[in-house]
Amino acid sequence: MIDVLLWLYLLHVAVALLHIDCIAQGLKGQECVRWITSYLAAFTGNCGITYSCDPKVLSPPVSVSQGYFPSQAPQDDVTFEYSYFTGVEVNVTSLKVTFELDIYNIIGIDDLSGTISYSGNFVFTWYDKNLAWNESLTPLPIDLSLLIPSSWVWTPGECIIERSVE
Amino acid sequence: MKVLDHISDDTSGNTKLAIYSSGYMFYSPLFKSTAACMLELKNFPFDTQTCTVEYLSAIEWVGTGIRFDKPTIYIGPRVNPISWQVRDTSITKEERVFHGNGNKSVVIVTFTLRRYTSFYWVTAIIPCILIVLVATGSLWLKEYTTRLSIEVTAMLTVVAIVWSISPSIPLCNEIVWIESFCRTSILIITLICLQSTLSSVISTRTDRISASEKMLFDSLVTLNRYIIDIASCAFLRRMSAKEQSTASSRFSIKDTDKRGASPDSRKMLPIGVDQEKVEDDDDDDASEGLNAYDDIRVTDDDEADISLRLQSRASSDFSIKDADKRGASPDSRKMLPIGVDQEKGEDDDDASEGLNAYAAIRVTDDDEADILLQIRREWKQYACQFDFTCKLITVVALVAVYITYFK
Repeated sequence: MIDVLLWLYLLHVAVALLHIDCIAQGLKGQECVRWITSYLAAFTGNCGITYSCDPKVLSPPVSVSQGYFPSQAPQDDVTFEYSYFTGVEVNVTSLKVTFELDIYNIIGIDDLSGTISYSGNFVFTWYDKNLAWNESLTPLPIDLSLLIPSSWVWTPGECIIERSVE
Repeated sequence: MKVLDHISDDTSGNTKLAIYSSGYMFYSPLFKSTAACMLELKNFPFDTQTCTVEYLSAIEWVGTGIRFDKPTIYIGPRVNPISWQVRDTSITKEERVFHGNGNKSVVIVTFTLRRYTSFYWVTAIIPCILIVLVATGSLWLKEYTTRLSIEVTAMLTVVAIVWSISPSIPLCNEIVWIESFCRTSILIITLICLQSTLSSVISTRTDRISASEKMLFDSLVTLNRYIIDIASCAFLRRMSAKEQSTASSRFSIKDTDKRGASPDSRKMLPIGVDQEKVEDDDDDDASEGLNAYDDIRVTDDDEADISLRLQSRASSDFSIKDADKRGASPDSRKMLPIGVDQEKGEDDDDASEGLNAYAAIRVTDDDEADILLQIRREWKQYACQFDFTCKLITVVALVAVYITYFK
């Protein structure tokens, strides 16, 4: 059983890897970065919508989404979770998102309205293996990170609730 | 559940997301949140607020969903707001069942903030304390008019302070600390005013004292001793001793302290009665400080006032014609009724009748003066007793109030 799961996992990872090959395209440095960005835009179905992809750069051109849906949360490893509804353990693919709250300013507490105001940054990190690519096919450093518009891909949403009213 | 204002720059689509070749995603949107916070304002402005804000994963995690993991919080170096000090922040995570909405990760962020209080100390608390102390100190003034003017001014000042800070006091359904403190200050000063007014009224009464009033005031004497015994702190003892010494110095009868002055033996001398003779008649009662203190307010002025009044009345009814020439002794001070001829009076036996009649009237006036003086003296004594009781109560109450408020 474990062997089967492991095989499925490896298959899943292998399929998820993008085949980005800058060397084959004859691209170096920043050209490679732009090409990967265009490729991601095309991969996520955002080419021409939120990012103007240059068809000449894309070779072979990828103009349609390859099954990636930015509105859908990526799936993480298969884990066993206890279901509150069925009362039994089930296989789930919940995505673990680390949550960090960086607060730079607490504006204060409003005595009249009974509210606290503050501002800062959320820091979410997670893995989306659908967007991984093969580093060996690119001439870029391993720790390269690409900055893409957050609307291209799935991002975690959060609600703020007030505990004592609950 | 209450969703409040939560603004994230992500809505504009400008926030960039970092993506690594391994598929590692780094996403850091800006936000500005306004969250409800249940405030506990009873101790305002010495309150410490703990606000709990919860962030909820938007998607349930049973099945396909997300879980907030390893929550951490970072507080920037310049995070302190103007009027608050951030004491503590914490972040925890739990997974909670939302009926009909699946199971979700909940990240709980807790802020603990303490209010800066210097503004309230400077504008309200210290001024209130000082004003109450001034009003209390006025109880030691002899002039009731001056006392009342100081106390009323003090009360109005505290009211003005309350008005000045009222915009800074949060509106809530309970009385906050500073409001309670100011109101207590007003109450204390009002009671001091009331006490001064009553003392003033009591000290100026001239009607006869009733049995119930006498009982009431006698109980004050007992109460004074009782309070001193209860609040046997050094300050009160010192104050009592001071009052005693003050009373001794003002007491008109010589060597009162040596002989001891009891309430019963406190005899004011009628006009013309020999002081030394009365002294000899006095008993050696216990020299209670409070009793000795009672006599201090019966001043020579009052005595002189009554004497003058009676003399002027006598002068209007009788013409004094060379009483001394006729050999009238200063003690008997014989005076002729109006219209009685001096010369004739000397010759005529009827004149002696007139003199006798005058003497009778004179004696009556002396008695009246005695009674009036005695009544006024008693009232003043009771006013002093009342004053002393109120001083004790006020000091004890002040100490108790401040201990209660600042413990």
